[in-house]
Amino acid sequence: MIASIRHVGNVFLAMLAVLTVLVGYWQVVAGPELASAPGNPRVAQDERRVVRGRILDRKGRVVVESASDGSRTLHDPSLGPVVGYRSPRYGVTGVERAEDASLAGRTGVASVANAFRALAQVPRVGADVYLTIDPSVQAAAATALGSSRGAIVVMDIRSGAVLAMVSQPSLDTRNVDERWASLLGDEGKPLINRASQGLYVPGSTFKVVTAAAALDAAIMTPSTTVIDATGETTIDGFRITDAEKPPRASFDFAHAFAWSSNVVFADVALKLGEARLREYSTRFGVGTALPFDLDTSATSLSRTAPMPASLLASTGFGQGELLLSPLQVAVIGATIARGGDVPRPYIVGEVRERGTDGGMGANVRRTTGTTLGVAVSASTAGSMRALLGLAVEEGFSKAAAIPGVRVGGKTGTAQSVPGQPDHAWFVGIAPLDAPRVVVVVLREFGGWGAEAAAPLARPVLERALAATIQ
Amino acid sequence: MISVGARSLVGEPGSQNRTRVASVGRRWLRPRWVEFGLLLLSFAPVLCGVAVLASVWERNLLDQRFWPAYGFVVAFVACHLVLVAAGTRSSQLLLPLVACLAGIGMLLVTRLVPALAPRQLLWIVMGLSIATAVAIGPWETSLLSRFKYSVAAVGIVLVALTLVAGTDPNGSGDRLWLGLDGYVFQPSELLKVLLVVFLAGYLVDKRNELTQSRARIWVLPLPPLPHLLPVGAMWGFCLLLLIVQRDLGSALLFYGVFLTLLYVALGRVWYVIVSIGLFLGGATLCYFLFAHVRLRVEIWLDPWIDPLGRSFQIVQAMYSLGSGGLFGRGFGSGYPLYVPATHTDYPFVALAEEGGLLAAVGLVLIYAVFATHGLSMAMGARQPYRQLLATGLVAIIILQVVVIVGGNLRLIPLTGVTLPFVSYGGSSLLGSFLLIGLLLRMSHEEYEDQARRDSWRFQAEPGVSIKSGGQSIGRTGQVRKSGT
Repeated sequence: MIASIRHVGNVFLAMLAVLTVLVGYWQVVAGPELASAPGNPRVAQDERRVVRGRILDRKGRVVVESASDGSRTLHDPSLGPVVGYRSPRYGVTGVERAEDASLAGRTGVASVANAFRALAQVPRVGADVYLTIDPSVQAAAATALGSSRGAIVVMDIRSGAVLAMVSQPSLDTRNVDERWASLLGDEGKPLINRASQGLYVPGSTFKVVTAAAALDAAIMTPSTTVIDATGETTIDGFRITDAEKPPRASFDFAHAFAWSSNVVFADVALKLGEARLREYSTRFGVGTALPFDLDTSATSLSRTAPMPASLLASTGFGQGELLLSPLQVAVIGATIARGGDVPRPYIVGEVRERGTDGGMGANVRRTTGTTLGVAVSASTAGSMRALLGLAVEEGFSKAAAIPGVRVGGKTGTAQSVPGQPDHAWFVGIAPLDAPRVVVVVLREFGGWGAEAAAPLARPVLERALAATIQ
Repeated sequence: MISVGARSLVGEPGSQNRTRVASVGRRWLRPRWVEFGLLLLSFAPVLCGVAVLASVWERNLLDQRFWPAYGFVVAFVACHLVLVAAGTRSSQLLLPLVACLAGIGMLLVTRLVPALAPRQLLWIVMGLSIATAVAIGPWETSLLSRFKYSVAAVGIVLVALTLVAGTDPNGSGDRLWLGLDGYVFQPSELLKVLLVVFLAGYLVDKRNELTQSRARIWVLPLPPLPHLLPVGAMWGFCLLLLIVQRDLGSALLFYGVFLTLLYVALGRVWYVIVSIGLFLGGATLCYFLFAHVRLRVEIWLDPWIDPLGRSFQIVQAMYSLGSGGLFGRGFGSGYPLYVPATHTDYPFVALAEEGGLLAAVGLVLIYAVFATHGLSMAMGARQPYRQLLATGLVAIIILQVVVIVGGNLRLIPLTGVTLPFVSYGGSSLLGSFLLIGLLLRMSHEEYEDQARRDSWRFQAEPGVSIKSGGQSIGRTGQVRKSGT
């Protein structure tokens, strides 16, 4: 009987051994796949247990951080449309989405501290995202726009870094879930970041592209004499009028730009032809969604191809079927300002680990400015800068002038919905001799660009120049 | 793997020499230092677990939630002191092993369903009381052998009562409980102990008759037909459990214990193989005859056919298990509560998720130590009845572990069997503690008998030892015969 008991014991131990092998299989061999299976509720739980990284501006001031309950606190309301919201139900937008992997600590964070946190089962800490936003410029832009619907974009033209981005009505990123229906139904459309996603007829600001194309294609020189005696013309039965008749009947092309003569630019567009206008527009980035950290909408020159002469003519002075975003207009301005190559705009400057003291930790990733290609030659860009300067000194953009600094700029007054006031635009660069910044102001239904947009740009340009003095 | 040599751990060899003569019969206050030391060690899992939980939950160590865990420690120390006071000679390993297992159980209940922790403590205290009473009470295990048919009668009454008046307090669809004045009791937990008590007595009595083969089927020796009756009855009873009570776990367990005892008593592998074949045949028949058996088997073989419905529990358990990894997610830091009924059906998985492979294998190892120790006690016993009794009692625990953990790991279909000492549940704990009481009692009697024999030998041959070579003389002049 003793021998039999020993056999029983061996069978028991063998069975227990099978159990240990099996639990080893489930936990170690099949474990990783089960642990990350989409149906495993722990995947979502783990996400919630990460201390999400903060979003800061270029001065290290906190824009967004997580409260103890995991909700996100926005410290600068004017950046709501930029940083976006996080909702379990409605998804993630803005910087929160663009940098989700870094903020959630899924990528890029490989610090010793986080390795220990993993061992100690303490929640991981996501990386901090540093925006290129300059707080003083952002504040100036937010103040300048006030509660008017529209957008302001300020960009450092040397790198493509966005220094300020305001979209009004702004988005309150808190409790998006509870307010979803009203946000969606709000006719002010706060869920759209007008600066990068809004599409508007650019009006005369597009004359920058037309003029640059004409100069670059040697169809025009700044001193070429043009005629606009009546302030109106007819192309294929389509009547074209200037917003304001030029003071003289005959003048040079530079003044046609400064005085924003639609008649002249309609003629220039026809001389350029559809192919060349498309070619140059494409080089500036028109026709596609700009590569950017945040979502951008695809801009377009015209839906119709080939364009009839009347459409081509009105496209030449920024009407027709043109649809551009303020960011795209800023890129156009920056391209002229930096000598003809197109900067890639960006708003995420750096990703850093959270330091042990809550400050800056090791750098994970830093954005450096890159170009998207060359739009026009450096000499064309130089001539264009002179034209922009003339527009501020003698044209409609006088309101943007800053004492002691030469500013170049172009206003735009774009037809909006019939019966509604026009969209007011301004694009400006400064200082004209060695540009550092570009400012784009758009006011929806603001009326005259010279009155509604250009004056807003001035304080913003001043702040931006002060902020980029280094 | 298992040998009789482990005997030295079982008793108290040191004190035995000095006090052998005086120790025969009743003696109060016999120190049990091995037990005390191991007991302190076995509190480590529950106390460390409480500390981790306190930090994860950000609660004070003296928080009300942890009181049951501290009560648990007090209860085991008290039990130890009672055993010391009663002067029992029983095994000093059993109580620490049980403390370790029940401690893990206590910790899991505290972590998973804190509200149930006080009740779990209550069950443990009651269980310890029963075990202690059985271990030190004025009775002999030979009584069990003598009254085996009465024991069987009690068992049959229990089964009959469950079949007639069984209730289903938790809505599982299976009427496996007996209710009395608001309290419910699962008779199968007591039944398994009664089964071992009866079978051990019966098989010892009928050992010779059962092995005298007159008839043969082909090469198989056939025991005389009247004695085949209990085998057939057992087979029928287990299938009845499976069909009427839908209790595959208990059926497997009872049949496994029965086969173990049959094998140990008769030493015939053929009986075991044929019996396993019979059971498999019956089970296969059930698969084709009964829809609920078929369903169980189908979701066992492929839980992914309905992961949000019928196999939700299995799939969630697999997620839980797989998320544990090597070192676990940390106690209190996992999500074992996504698995429905974790504290009763899947405590092993909860431990494996939060403690990882390390804790899961650790738990299985404790059961392995229990098996080794219990079976070496069986092998060391002098009476065949005690050998069978101890083997059967150990078989209950180990087979239960294999059935429930095997079910958790999808080795076999999931059953409602509890993880001994670890799962939440009163009936199961009381049954298991009764079993431990019997083992303690048996080991005590074994040492009393040995002491009696030794003292008899000392008195009968007082002069022999002094002069003979192979024997040494103890400090008090008593003989220690090497290699007893």
